[in-house]
Amino acid sequence: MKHKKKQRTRKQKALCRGIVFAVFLGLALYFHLFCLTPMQTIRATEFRMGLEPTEIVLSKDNLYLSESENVLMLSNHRPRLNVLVLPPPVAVMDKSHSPLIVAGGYSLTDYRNNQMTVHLVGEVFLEGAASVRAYHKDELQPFLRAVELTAEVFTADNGNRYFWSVTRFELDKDTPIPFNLDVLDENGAVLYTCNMLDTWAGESIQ
Amino acid sequence: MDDHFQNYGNAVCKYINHATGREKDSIRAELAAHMEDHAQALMDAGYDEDHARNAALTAMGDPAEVGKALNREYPLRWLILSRLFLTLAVCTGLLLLLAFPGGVYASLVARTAPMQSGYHTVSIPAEELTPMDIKQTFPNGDVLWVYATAITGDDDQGYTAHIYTSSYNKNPLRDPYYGVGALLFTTDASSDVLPRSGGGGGTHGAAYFHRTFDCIPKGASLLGHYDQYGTEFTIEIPLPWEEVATP
Repeated sequence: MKHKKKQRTRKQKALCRGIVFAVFLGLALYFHLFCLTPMQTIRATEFRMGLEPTEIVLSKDNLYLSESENVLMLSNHRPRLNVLVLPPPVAVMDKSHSPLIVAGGYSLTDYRNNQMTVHLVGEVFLEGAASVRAYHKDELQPFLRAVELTAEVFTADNGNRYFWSVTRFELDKDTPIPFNLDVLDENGAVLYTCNMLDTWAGESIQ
Repeated sequence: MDDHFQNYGNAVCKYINHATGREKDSIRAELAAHMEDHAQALMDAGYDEDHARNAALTAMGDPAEVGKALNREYPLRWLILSRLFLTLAVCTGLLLLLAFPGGVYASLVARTAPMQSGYHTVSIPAEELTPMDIKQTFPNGDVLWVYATAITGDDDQGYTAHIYTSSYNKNPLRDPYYGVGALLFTTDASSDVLPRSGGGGGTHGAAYFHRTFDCIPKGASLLGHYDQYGTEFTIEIPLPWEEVATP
């Protein structure tokens, strides 16, 4: 009888290829090459920055606010393949120094529709805080159009107090980002002032 | 191959619905080999060639019955699964191939010979730099390596400290996220945060930065502080005061 190389059965071939695919998929998931769900986007950012796991507390549009003991993070999710670089966070706010407030923002500039959408978001730990006001203040460039955003403080299901406002307005080429933030009580008096320079991100649609 | 045996193989394969071309060729070859062996055995027993071949053909049975029996060995679902897994494995493999190789070499250079990299800033001649080996690891596995320092200036105009750093991740397949920009610098003589200047560059897998700090008190060391997201550390960078360099 001629001896022939024993051919693998169809089932063996399928199982072999399945194992190879499973190994590749495991590597791709470990390195966060896919971000198909909001949690994958958030986990990819945590992996990239070495942060502890966060839990989603609020979401609006494609933006997700997630929180851990030391971090409040705003992420912008859309399904993507992270071939060359992992997705950057929109804003990562540091809670580790027991601040009175953590705040950040995200602006989406739509040049096609001549519109800007601005999200102002954060968490308040200050007693008596009822609202926040973000504004642009630059004595060196007084010709810039003044921008002011406000947001009411509310208590979420987890018992923590957050604020999240969305403002849309016509695009002006000199529209600045409001980096200054006041925390106000119910009478409108300023309780605290801070700066959001490091926790603001923006994207544009050309 | 004998024509009759080949025709028999073709007749059997007509009843196998979901075999690929290669599988059908294999089936024909296997059937023909079996019939050849049977015919050879008969010829060895004394039968003439034609009689032996006809007997071998008859012994195989009805090709329709044989074909239907073999058809059950080639179910469609395993073929679909096999091709699906092959496609998915190729796509995922290509993705991995695109994602990783580019930064590996840069990452290896950054952790072994940063001064040989094209991204090392040549602001002071290499022979006037003082080699250092101060490494700090961040929570995500990034490593910041202060690999050289220098002091320029004099007592009249003041002294400027220069540090040269590379950043890479312990895993050479990953890009670094943190660099020297994540640190605030003071000296051991004062807690005032030093203004910084300098530049840098890099590619996938590695980043390089050169920082300068003016008005450094003579004899002082630099302290780099990191305190974010629940992680805190300070690194001390001694400066080469005995070898003031010329920029």
